[in-house]
Amino acid sequence: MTPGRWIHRIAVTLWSSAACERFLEPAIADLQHDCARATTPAQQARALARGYVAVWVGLAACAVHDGGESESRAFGTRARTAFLLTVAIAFVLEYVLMHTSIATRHYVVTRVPYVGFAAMTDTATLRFGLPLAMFPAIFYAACSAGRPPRRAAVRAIALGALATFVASGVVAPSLERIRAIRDRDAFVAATGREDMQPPLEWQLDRYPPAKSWPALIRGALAPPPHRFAGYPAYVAPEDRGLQRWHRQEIYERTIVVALAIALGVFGWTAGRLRHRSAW
Amino acid sequence: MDERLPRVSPTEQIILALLSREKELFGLQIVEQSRGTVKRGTVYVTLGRMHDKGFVDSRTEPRAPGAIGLPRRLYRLTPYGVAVLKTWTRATRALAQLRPAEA
Repeated sequence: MTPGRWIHRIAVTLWSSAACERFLEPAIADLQHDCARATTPAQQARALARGYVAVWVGLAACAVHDGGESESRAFGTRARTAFLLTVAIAFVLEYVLMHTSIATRHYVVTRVPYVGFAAMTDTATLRFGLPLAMFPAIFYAACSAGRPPRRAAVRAIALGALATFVASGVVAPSLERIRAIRDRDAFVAATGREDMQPPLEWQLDRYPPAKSWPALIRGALAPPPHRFAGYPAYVAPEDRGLQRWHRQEIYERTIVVALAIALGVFGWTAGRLRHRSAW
Repeated sequence: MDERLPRVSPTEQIILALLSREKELFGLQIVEQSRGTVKRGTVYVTLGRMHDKGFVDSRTEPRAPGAIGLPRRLYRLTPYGVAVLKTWTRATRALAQLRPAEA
């Protein structure tokens, strides 16, 4: 396979042709040439390593170059502002619903259980608020900016998807972990019975929402653990579905990232249609 | 400092000197001929900046039929780049000959 081909294909949709021609394409072309003339696997690995450094620097240079365009900058600023505002409103709403009255908390958890369970650990906005904020952000930016280039929208959607990936896959699980440890400590403090709880490591291992991406993927691939010394073939009932739960969590997080991309594209389409009809 | 004066960074000086020796060079050849002074990661960004300043010009290499991958880019000095290099070299030599006592 020709190295750098996919990066080039993606980059031309994200950055202007002027930026790609100047910073990226020479780096990719030299990378391909360097790899083609390598005769041993070691030489090829060196060529790839050195070449990809230049390619990544080239990508960063494209971002800086295109970020300076006034239309792109205006679109990015509007999208960022609307995104942050929507996320802030979602955070406030989550806090008010879950922490001001038991009745509203009960209502949310029973009527919208999927979001409600995440809201119980204050992670609903991180999991669902960010992808949902993509629509108003891109829609507002597409409506109000003059003639924003499509690649500015592609960049904004890519950034939003990345933010969703990090928020739902790294930040929210960290909060879940903190919450799980606190709950355990509270239980032990109230009852004085640590022996009624399984070890903390086991508890966390059996709780996929508290795992960030690498641990989650490892958990989905690993066979069920044998936790009891002297019983090498025994798998505890709590561990039997562990692989499936991890895969389910990966699936749900992937859906959330896909939702962010879909809502971004929808926001762009709707925004441009509205902008055209207004003029 | 006059803003209209062309500014030449040390890396740009090396690239100007290399391009003045050879007629045209690829980015990778510039890295190889500089013996590690010009880094692979920064050569294309530096060449892009030099292009903006008008020091260098570039064209894509002619492709052989059936060649795969992107065409490589060849860089060469512009007449302005040649003039800047000559002036810069002369100025550097003149400055190197100055001694505090003589001044």
